[in-house]
Order: sequence, then structure tokens, then C-alpha cells
Amino acid sequence: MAIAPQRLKSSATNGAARVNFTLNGTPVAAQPDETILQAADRHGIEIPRLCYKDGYRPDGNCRVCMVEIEGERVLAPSCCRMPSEGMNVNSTGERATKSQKMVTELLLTDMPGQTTSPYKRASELDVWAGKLGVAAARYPQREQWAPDLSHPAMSVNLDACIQCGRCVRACREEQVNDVIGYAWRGEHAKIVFDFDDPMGVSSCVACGECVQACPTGALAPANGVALIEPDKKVDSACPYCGVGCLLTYNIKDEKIIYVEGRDGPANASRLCVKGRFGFDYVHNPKRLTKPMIRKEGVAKTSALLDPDDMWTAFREATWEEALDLAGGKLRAIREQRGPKGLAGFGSAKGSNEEAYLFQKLVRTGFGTNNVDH
Amino acid sequence: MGSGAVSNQVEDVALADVAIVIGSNPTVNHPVAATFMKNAAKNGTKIILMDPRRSDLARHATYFLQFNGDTDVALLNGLLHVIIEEGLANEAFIRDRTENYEALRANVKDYSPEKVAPITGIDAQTIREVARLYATAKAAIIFWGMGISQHVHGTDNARCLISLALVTGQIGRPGTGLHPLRGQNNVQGASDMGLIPMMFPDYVRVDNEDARHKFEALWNTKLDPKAGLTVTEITESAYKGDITGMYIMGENPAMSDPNVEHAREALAKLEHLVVQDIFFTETASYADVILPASAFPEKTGTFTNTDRRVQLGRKALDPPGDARQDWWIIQEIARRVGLGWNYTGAPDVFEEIRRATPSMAGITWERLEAEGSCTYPLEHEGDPGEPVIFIEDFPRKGGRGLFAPAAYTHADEMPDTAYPFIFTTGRQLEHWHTGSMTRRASVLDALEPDPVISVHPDDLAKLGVEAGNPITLESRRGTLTGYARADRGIQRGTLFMPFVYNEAAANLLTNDAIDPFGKIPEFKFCAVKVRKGERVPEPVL
Repeated sequence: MAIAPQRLKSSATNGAARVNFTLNGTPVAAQPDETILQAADRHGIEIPRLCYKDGYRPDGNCRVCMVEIEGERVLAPSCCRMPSEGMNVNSTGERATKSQKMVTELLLTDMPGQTTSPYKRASELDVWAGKLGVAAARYPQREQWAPDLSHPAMSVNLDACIQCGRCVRACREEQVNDVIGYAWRGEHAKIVFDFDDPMGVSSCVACGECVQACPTGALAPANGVALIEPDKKVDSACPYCGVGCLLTYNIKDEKIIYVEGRDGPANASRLCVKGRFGFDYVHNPKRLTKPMIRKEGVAKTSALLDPDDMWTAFREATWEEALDLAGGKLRAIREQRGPKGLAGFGSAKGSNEEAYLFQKLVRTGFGTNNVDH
Repeated sequence: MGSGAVSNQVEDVALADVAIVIGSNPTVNHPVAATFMKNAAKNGTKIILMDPRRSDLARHATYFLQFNGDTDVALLNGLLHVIIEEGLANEAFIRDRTENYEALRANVKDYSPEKVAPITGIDAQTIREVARLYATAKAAIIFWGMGISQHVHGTDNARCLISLALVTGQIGRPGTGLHPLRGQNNVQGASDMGLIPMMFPDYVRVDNEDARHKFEALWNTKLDPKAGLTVTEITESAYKGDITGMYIMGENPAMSDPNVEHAREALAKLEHLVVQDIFFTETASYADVILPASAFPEKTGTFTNTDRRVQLGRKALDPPGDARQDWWIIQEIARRVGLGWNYTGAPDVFEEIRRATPSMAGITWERLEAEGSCTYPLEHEGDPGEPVIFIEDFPRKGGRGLFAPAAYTHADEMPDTAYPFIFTTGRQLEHWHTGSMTRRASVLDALEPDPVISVHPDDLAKLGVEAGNPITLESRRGTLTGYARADRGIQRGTLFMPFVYNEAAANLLTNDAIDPFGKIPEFKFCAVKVRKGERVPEPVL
């Protein structure tokens, strides 16, 4: 497998000449490693595409991105055709448009109800169908696959699958988990997990790259959350390991509904199961919401206390009372026993700012270097 | 080498001809970093995986060395022996950039591949081939994880890896170097910020008088010139009654400390314990005051990843109920111990960090907001940042890398007839650390709900237990019962368990012996016995 051309851009562009060609009558210059479609994107010229995804190896199977090249007998898929010097390309002429529309209509034909995706709001197929003005399909539908809802994080509805293979590339070439495959032929062609096992019992590690790659919602986060329009999107980072993946929180009614990978320098839009699906701890009903103080006379033993029984040992307090007790007693110990009687554990989960403040507090307020994480 | 930071970033694996991955299970612990390693392997990078457990990355490795646990130093000295004996050492690099080479050479003389083969379980020929492959690569990088560090000889393990890079000159260029994969999302940043007992921010030793004066001026107070105690030492001091007051923010020693029953007893002895967290953690059981804090998506701040990238986390939600921002809580405590703090928020604190931390002085909050990620060292505004360091010298006096020879020694507690199994701990893909977040995340809990112990099927057969049934483990320190999971990737005579489950806390069994230099406990090796189990207790969540 060759690495996707995008990743090589920085090295490949050094010194090599740009390629000048004409696109829809406009002169454009492509980087030496750019396809027609990528050059068009950079110049703000939209060409429909479905099996193509930025960063992935172009596969050229869906045929929605067909363009006309002057002097060539057949149309060319712009996602995997490199421009050459002086080439004259047209993506909006009659031949190209007719082909793009026809392919889109055939793909829509196999959508459930032959209309917009019931699994994902504004799916890429729906968006392109809208832009191309393709509505009702005129053809009979194939026999459809049953849903596979065996996985707690993702739903599989292959009735909305257009066999673009983005999930296959996601699983095999991006994350290299080698779970998703492409089975059978012709109208029986099907995306499978391992040996056509239900997703939930397959060797899937739930990175969700396929969900992020799917242009129709055939693969989607579970429970229909991809149908909800978020109130806001917040660009942030993952709270788990040290890799430092960047991500986007999708928020509706003050709740995170789903998470998407963002193109960070350490993750190239990829995430793992924790970063993508492990976010609802923040909404867990057992979150602490009030300061608490140990009740008078409740002795400490080495036994763990069940969080459900926490009110047997603790009582609710105001912030003022809790902080006065917390800080006042630390101060009293420092004054009575000296700085060596105190220590602090900050958190490797907290921010730099929190870590900095915490160690500064222990060093300058407690008067000791007994600080670790 | 004078620094604890990675020399090269994970993405450099794509530029390496050879990548050694040792004591690390990246598809589980650093899954997205692992994807770049797998991409590289598909593009021709030869991966040499060395680990007592066969992990998923083995499928993509050119060599997989499943050496006997605890024999890292013997194996790595064997590699060094071959490199020197066969004339593969980079003489020019050794001459110009290092010191103490003669001591290393004398030390590894004793570690011929034939001699270490029976110790490590790796045949001499493989050791020779791997040594040649690494030494003769145009660019070779080494990644490691806690499998290196969490031994009483953890520092020695790391010294051997440093020696490998120095003796071959595989450092200071793209695609080479040393990358200890960082665990927590901000373990790099926490250390950078001085959240360690022996260093001020930017790795300035507290016993360095000039540096201390700088911080005394910045913070306008006298500072303790003596290094403080580390986590395990603090626990011991609390147990003895010397430390009587503690403030614990977002850490869970009642699950994460080795020999955790002892640690729980120590916490229970504290006269005053303040716990700041988002859940009623195991550690909260021992608190006097509990302060409800904010979760990651509820706050804005900077986090430094394993690559030295400083990245911005942005607030997406408000904390629930009366929970508050962590920086605000720390400041309120500071005011009550007598400090007149008046920070207004993360950007304000970050400005002070820039003054305290020269290697980050050039990073501005505005740039972080615009770019989301900056790599340090970045000393002056507008600098691009330095993805590769140690290009010309090492941050030691004189600038040379120091060879630190290491002798093969054993773990603190070896298996014997009474406790014949080796017990080792770590993480699993679906859960994080002590589970305070992930066991309360519905999808993750659904995927891995129960405490599992990985056992070789042959050992299970000997026990007469079928996979999926309970087994009970007992060490000299504690006992637990979890479900046996058959795993052909684990060596016979070894058991592995994630330390995430409080109904079967792996750290009840682990040994609290620590590495005398790095002070890291030996989580990766202790002796246990195993028997058919009865009932696995319910989790306390």
C-alpha cells in the first residue's frame, strides 16, 4: 500500500515544479503531487465526491467525481487523476454533470426509502444529491441487509451502504486494525466484519474510524445521535492518554452527543475507543456536585466506602465552610508540625496551569517540596 | 542525557528504517500512536517488538522478541555486546558526543549473546540479527513504555536503551532517537511544570542554588532547598505518622499505589486529607473534605503530549451543580494557607508559566488559540518549535551524552515454590488508569465490565479452570478474585491484570519496592500463587 499522497505533500513539494492546467475555463496551478480534485479544492472549485476522503488513499470507485478532459475519449475520475501541463479539464459541462447525476441517482436508489439517509443528518450523499439536484430515483431497489445493532457504540445499517470502501480503507489502511473487509460480488457486495460476524462480536476495537469515514450513516454512532443537529461544536483535545489527539465535542442541550477526531498533528483525525466513545462519564449522575465534610465522629478505616453510602460518612457543606476547613487545617498543620508534615499530589490529568498552580501552592504555601503526581 | 523529554516525535517512525518498541503495548495504551507505527510498518519500517507479552503490534513486527520478564538489562546488554564486538559502534559519534564509553564497553563484555540467551529466552542468532539491524539502519528510533520503567531496575533498563542510541549514534536526526511514550494526557506537562519533588518548572533541580534564587524572586518567597518525597515515599511517611496533612487533586492513590492495602491504611491515618475530584473515588473514602471539581470538557487549559506538543483543551460544558474550576479551587486553598493569589484564569496563569519555563517562553496563548498545538522548545515568540532535539549536544555540563553501564539484576520479589507465578500489571484498551472515568462511561463499561486476568491456556488447563471462570490470586500482600481470560500471548507461569477494577484491585498484590534512582515502584513484577476462585465481588462504583 502506498501512503496517501497528502501525507507526502511537504516533502514532495520541495523544488518540484507546479502543474498549470485549465479547470472549467480558469487557469489553475496544481502542486506536483496533487490530483485534479485536490487542486480544485484548493482553488475553491467544488467537484462532487463520495468514495474520496481527505487524507485517505483515493480509490476511484464511486465515479461521482467524473470530469471531462479535452481530447480524451472517456471521462476521468478526478480523485485519482493527476493533471498534466496544459490539460483542459471540465467538471461542470454536460457530459460530466450527466454522469455525476446518474451515479448519484443510482446510489440514492439503494438508500432506504430511496431518499435522504435515515441514519445521519446531512450525509455526504444527501448533500451532493441536493447540490446536483438529484431527487427521486427511477429504479427498483436491491434487496436490503438487516441492521446490525450488536455493538454498544456503533450501529451498522448496510441498507444505506454505497460500497464506497471508505470504511475498509479506514480500518485497514488508516488504523490498520484489519477487521472490515469487502465480501461477495455485484449486487451482493457487502461490508463485513471478520468473517461476516456481527460487529459486536467481531475483533473490532471500536476506534470508530469507519463511522467517521462513512458518507451515508450506514456506519454511525449508536442510538441515532448522528441525526441530531448539535447546538455547538467545540474544538478540544482528548482527556485520556499521552498521544494528544485533538477532537471536536458536539454539544446538544448541554450534553456531549458525539465526538469527532480533528486533524491534529499527533492524530491526523484519528481517535481510539476511549477518546471517541468514552465521554459520557462527565454526565454520570454520580458526579460530585457539592462540597462535602466528614461527619463528626465517623472514624477512618482502611476499608473502601461505597459511593452509594457516602452520605453515611459525609455531610454537605457550603464552599466557604469546606474551603475554610480544608485550607485552615492545612495551615494549622504547617504551623504546628512544620512544612514536613504536609504533602500534595497534583494530577497528570490536569492542565499545565493547574499543575503549575498546585506545585507553587505546595512549595510556597506548604513550604515543602513534597509534591508529586 | 540530562533530559526527560522525548528526543523525537511519534510521527518520526515514518522516517525510520527500524523502530524498536520495548516494554510497551501501544495498540492498547497509545492506540493512535500505534496506528502510525503500523502505517510505517506497511511502508517498510522494520519494527522490532520486545516484550514478555505478545501484543497486537507483533503482527506487524519484523522481529518479535518475547523475552523472559525482568531480563531487560541482560537482553539489551547482549545487543550492546554484539554492536561493539562486531565493529558496528559509531566511533565518531562516541568520540565527539559521549563520555564514559570505556566503562560501557568493559561492562557489556560479559554479556555475549550465547550467555544471555538462556537468561532471556532469546536465541543468540536473533540477538545478533536485531543488533545488526538496529546499528546499521540509516535511521532507527526506540519507543518504550512502563514495561521499562516499572521495575526496581527501571532506571538501568532506560540507561541501556540510551546506551544503544549513543553507541550507534541513532539520535539527533529525524527518524532516530528515544521516545518514552507518556501515559497520562498531561504527565509530560505535569513534570514540565514542576509537579515532581526534586524539580522546579523546566527541570531545574530544587537543590541548585542559582535556580532556586530565580524562583524565590519570581514567587517572592524563600524555598526549601531539599528535594521532597515521591508518591511512594509520601505514602510511607503518612503511614509512619510524619506527614499528617495532604491535599490530593485528581489522583487516586487508593487504587494506583502498589501494595494498595498498605497505602489505604496510610491514607486512613492522615489527620487531615483534602480530596478534589469529579467522583467519589476510592481515595475519597479517606477524606476529611471533598471538593467537587470539573471534568476535562468543562475547562480550558493547556496540555502537553508525549511529543512535547503544548495543546489547547477548550471548555465545552459547565461543571454540574456546584462543582467548580480546579484552578479556582487551588487558588482558594492557597488564599487560606496565607498566599495572596489573584489569578483570573488559565491564560493569566499561562503568562506566569512562560516566565517560569524558558523552553516554553515563546508560546503565546493567542498562538495556541490560532494553531491549537505548539512544540517546545520554543523560546522566542515566532519560533517554529523544535520537533527534534539533541541535534548538536545534550543538556548536560559539557554537552556530552553519558554512558551509564548497567548490571543485570533480579526483581525484588522472585517467584518461588510458595508463590510460583509472575504477576504483572498494566492497562487495557477500553479502560483508563484506575477506572474512575472509564468505568463510569457507558460504552466502555459495556465493552469491558468485569475484572479479567490473562492466563496462558496451558496454565488454565493445569488449574482445571475454564476460561471465563473465577480464579483467585494471592501474593504476600493481598488477595483478589477475577475472571480468567485465556491468552496465548502471555508466557506460561505469568499472569497479567489491568489495575482498573476496585472489586479486584491488582495493586492489592503488587510490590511497593521502588527503583532507587527513579523511585518508580515495581508494578511489573511480583510473585503470586493462583487457585480456582469462587465469587468475583461486585464493583464499588
